[in-house]
Amino acid sequence: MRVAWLEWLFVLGLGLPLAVVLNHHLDSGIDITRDYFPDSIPQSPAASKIQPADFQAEVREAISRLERKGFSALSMDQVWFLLGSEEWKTEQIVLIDARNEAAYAAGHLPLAYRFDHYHPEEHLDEVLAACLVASQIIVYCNGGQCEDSEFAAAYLRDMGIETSKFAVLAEGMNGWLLAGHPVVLGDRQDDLIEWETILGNIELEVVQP
Amino acid sequence: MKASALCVVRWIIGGCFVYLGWVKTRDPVAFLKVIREFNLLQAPLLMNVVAAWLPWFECWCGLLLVLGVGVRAAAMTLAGLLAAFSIMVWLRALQLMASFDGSFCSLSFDCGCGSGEVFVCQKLLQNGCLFIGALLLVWQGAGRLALWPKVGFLKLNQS
Repeated sequence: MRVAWLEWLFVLGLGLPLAVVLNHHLDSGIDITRDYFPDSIPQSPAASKIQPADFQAEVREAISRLERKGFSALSMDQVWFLLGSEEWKTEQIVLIDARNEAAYAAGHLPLAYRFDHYHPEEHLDEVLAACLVASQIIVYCNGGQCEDSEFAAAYLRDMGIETSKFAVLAEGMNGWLLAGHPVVLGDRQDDLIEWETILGNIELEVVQP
Repeated sequence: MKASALCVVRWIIGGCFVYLGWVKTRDPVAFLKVIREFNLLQAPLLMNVVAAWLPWFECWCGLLLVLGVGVRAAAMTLAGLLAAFSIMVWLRALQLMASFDGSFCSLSFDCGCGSGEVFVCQKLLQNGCLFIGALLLVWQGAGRLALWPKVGFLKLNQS
């Protein structure tokens, strides 16, 4: 009997504390005490993924979800228009990319701050400082069923940023790319030069088809 | 059953759990999101605990099987986990069937198992095989090349 208990003690008694310690020491580990999905609205099973295609239906659902959470939604056209504005260049309008590092590096909107709310410590100071002085904050993730932009906005709202400042790009990056809009790569500090080069190339293509 | 066959079973099951657990530990946030999609755990604390600790625990139990340490307890724990996972995959599949036109076996989704998007029937079959293998180890013991072969229920029965 003693031997069997020893075996169970070894498997469970050592395994569970080991799991706790490893998660705690891992940079990407989960904070057990946090609510990662604030103001979460449970999805109906029928609304959950796997059915392909109807991205626009997902976007409509996202817009209604945003309204229920108290955030406004912006269309791609509105964001595209804002990207050329003086407010955007002077950071009166701030863009926040709520996706992870790999997604951000693969392509993001110009001058977007990276803010992955699952790992807020990485960029929180920088993002909070920008949000405090901005008059409008546009948050995006992949769009449609992706709710990370809403959770990121909720996180920043809970840090003291006014709710009325936030707007979410409901189509997200998937919609942006589907529409054929350009993105910038790499670090944020090079975004403006890269963006102007991209826009210059687009204008050339229009003039000399 | 031949001791060498038991050893192979142990390595296969242990290897699967070490690999699948390790994949999940690399991106616990992705695992957390999948857990949320299942709609079975509502409390944030419960979701976090499962997403944070379960992958490491799977790795640990898998490693014990590979090494042949505490095999019966580890195999029984993994059999229990497999049964629970299979029930959850089954329930999730039934939920998704409500908005899916194809057959049950043509339904695929990311079950959070660490292997990405999988076909339901394939996943349930895979889990079933691993479950039977785990029960075999509980019944028959570690087989060859186990580091700690004498510890277990056989010893318990003899004492």
